[in-house]
Amino acid sequence: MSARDFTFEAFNARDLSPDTVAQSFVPSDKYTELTGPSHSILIGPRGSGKTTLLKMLSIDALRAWRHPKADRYRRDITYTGIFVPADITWGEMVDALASSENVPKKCANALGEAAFCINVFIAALDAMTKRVSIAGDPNDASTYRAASIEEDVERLIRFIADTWKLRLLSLSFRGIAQALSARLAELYSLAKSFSHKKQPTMELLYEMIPYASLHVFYSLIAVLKEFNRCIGEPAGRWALLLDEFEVVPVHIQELVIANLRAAPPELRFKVALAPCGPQTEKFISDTAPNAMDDTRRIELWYREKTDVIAFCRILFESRFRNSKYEHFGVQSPEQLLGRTAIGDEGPGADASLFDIRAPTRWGEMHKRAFVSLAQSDESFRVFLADKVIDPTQLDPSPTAANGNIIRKIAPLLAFRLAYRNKTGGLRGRKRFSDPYVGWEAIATISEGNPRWFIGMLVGLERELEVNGKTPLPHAAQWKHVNRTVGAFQEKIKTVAIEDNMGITTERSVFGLLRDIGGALHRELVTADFSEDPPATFVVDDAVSQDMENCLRIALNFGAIVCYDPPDHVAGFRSLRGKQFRLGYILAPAFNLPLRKGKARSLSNLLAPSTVGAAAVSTAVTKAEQGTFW
Amino acid sequence: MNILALTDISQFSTLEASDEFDLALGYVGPDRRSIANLLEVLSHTRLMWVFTGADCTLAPSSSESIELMRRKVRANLCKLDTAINKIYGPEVETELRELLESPGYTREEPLRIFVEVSAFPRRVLASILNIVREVACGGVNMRLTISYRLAVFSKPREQSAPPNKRVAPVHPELAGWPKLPGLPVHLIVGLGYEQGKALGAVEYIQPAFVTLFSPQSPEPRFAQQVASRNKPLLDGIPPSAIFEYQVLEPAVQMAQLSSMLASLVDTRRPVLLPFGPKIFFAVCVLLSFGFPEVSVWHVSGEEEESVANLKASDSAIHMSLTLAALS
Repeated sequence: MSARDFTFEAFNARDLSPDTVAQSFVPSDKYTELTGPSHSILIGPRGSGKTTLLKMLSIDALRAWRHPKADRYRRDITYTGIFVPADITWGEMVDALASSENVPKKCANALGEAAFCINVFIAALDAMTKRVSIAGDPNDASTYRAASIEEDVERLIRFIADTWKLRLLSLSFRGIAQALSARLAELYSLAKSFSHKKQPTMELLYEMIPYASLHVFYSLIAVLKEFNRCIGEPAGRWALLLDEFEVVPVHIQELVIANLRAAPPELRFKVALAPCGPQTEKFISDTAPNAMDDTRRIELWYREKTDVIAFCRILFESRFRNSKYEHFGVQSPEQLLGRTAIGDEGPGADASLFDIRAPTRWGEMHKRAFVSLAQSDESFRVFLADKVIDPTQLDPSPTAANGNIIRKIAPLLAFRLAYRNKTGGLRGRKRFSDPYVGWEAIATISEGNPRWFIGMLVGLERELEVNGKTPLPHAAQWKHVNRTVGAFQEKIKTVAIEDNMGITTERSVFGLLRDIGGALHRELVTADFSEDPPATFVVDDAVSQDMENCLRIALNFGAIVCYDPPDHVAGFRSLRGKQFRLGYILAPAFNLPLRKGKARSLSNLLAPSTVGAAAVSTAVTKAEQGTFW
Repeated sequence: MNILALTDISQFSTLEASDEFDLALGYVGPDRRSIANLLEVLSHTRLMWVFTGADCTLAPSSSESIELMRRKVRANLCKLDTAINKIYGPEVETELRELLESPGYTREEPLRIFVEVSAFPRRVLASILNIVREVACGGVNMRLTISYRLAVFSKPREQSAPPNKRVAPVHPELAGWPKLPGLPVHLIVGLGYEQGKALGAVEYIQPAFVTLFSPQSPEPRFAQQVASRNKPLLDGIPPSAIFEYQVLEPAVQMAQLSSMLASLVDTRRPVLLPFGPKIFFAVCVLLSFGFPEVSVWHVSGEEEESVANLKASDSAIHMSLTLAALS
């Protein structure tokens, strides 16, 4: 077993080399959209695959990519990608450059910009170097975008050094790289020294750090234009691929967003952002409505189950070439996992799977459920009578009069029977796992999040090696689903609530989600039977700002999913009036079905009169053993 | 960039009668862990400052009122009768820096500083040690002794920790600076009792590599609790990346971590996240003084968590080292 099979080090594309990412990459519609020539803002929660998509625009990844459609993409992409890495720790390091409160905000921003500038220059130099490091061959993908410098190389190097104010030890691309590394180290020392001055001013800062006055984009564009000219491609285009951009200091985000419209045609921006990063609160409201008309927003979440399942099928195929499936004769995810027995079976469902007259698991289970619930649940009997459905004579086929209703409510019955006691209240029991195993359920629970989906799949592939037969037993599937769900719960339980990507709340994120999940579960199980119980919520005006902040953090982590589009190209300015569901990854934790349902206003859903006095419990509690040692 | 050399490291379980200090620093809370060590050096130090927090840092457990906890702090302070009590804050930081840099304290021989770390909130301890670093970088030679005492075992309550408030560098000066921004993050986590906290922080940082350090002590029940309360995290990390360390052997911790960091800094961005024993936290902070690439993080909000009614055990350890500026 390799280290990469373990949960906490796996599947973070940020730290995989571009050629490793390319090995298993299968293009999706989102990727096609991203490859276009316009500016793009890629919005998605953590782990949703933003980094993978951006890395697949880099020159290294495109050279290494061997998918049947790769040549077409290489042909259609009209720019050279410059991948600029970032992560939370880098963001904190940049923030800490001005380590004294004595430093004026303007100076602190200038220090952050200087660090960002070095990061961008290092990435741009890397991309330029890769273009000229090998000879081009139109028939060889590994030389994609290779170019040769047709003029004096030393003149170009001097131009770059002058533009970026670098002191070079040698007139070569390597010399520029060394000078940028030295500048990075020097910036830290000088920033610390500057921060401890008695009167740190902008004048002093420019005196101590002259390159802090460089404008990152003007300096970059000047160099790229000159490089284009030297390689004989005067109209050559470049794309700055800014990864995890929500974690860089806000003023740098402002700088980029402000430059989107003003950017020259030579430079495109492809920016990865969280749905509710600081960018949405701090400056979206200051941006004119049409200022970003030529910027395309690409959302990396899926509102509908069918879309999730379709994307997961692509992810499944991406592992096909590298896994043990061939050895065990597995050709589809359904073959590996079987179909989900208790699903959301609306119109258009595969009728053969749900033929209640056939001796299928589904048929047997639901026939018993209809009769059993009709005996114990008065409200269900009323519902059946109203719809003229005889529980002993069910016909769930799509052509039958009540076929669609029968299929639609069947999964609800299973939950109601499992969790409703004889007096109509809730009963505790071992978790009911049938709705959460099988291909459709596992794909749905993953939300199409590559980290979660592949995490489960790796475990399931190990089960395949052990079991050697398909479909894998439900218990084996549930083990891996439960582990992923548990890890996600732990993450949400401890998610930071102060300045989390610029958002602060007083309440526990998990506590709020637990209250919402609990309320939805009670509506499902203990309220009068309804064919469409509430399963989603709308953030209404009675919801406090603090609770909305809490939900913003949940949205960034993929714990809730919005059905409405963001109100701005760069993300959600406000959550008010928008419809959400809990992430399907939390459905097993709160005993909820994997389905959409009607919406309830959040304040109403959480009102004690609706959900019981014990429901609202999101206040942060104190730990008892925090300083034990 | 000022880098400190940490040399002449030695550890010992009891202080000698001949050990003398120019300044002793400690933190006094309602529990008793720091008191025994501070009492031991009280008559061997020219000056002792003991810090206390504001009342808001005293979060009572269900059975204890704020007033009871205040009384316990006052009782502890009374035992240290000749020590000077300071409420920790920015003014005290300035005062401490000025004291350490004052001519009365600087001399040919190294300044001898004693820091009892057992009861310090992590942020305060990081600030104190950073002041020591800054003064040492300014050319003052120092012999630093850090001192720690284990608590008597008591089982933690079966409840999840509250959410992390903020996961971030413990001090701006300890945020680190990489050789290259794109290097992969290697997170080194010291495990503690806090259920789910380490896991939450690991998921937040999303490192490329994780190494866990699990504390072992003469009381095996500590380690059992650590293993059980961090099970989801331990299950998700390859065994080759999980190390055990002895709480009462800080010099070994220094050597082990120092060697690991030296091998990482050129190709990765090491981030230290020391939950658990304060001695391990102190070791991590001290090591970062020698590795500017390394950052030391913590999960804030700990100061607001209540202190259990801890009792000091008989197991203590002291480690001395010399601090000198390299450049």
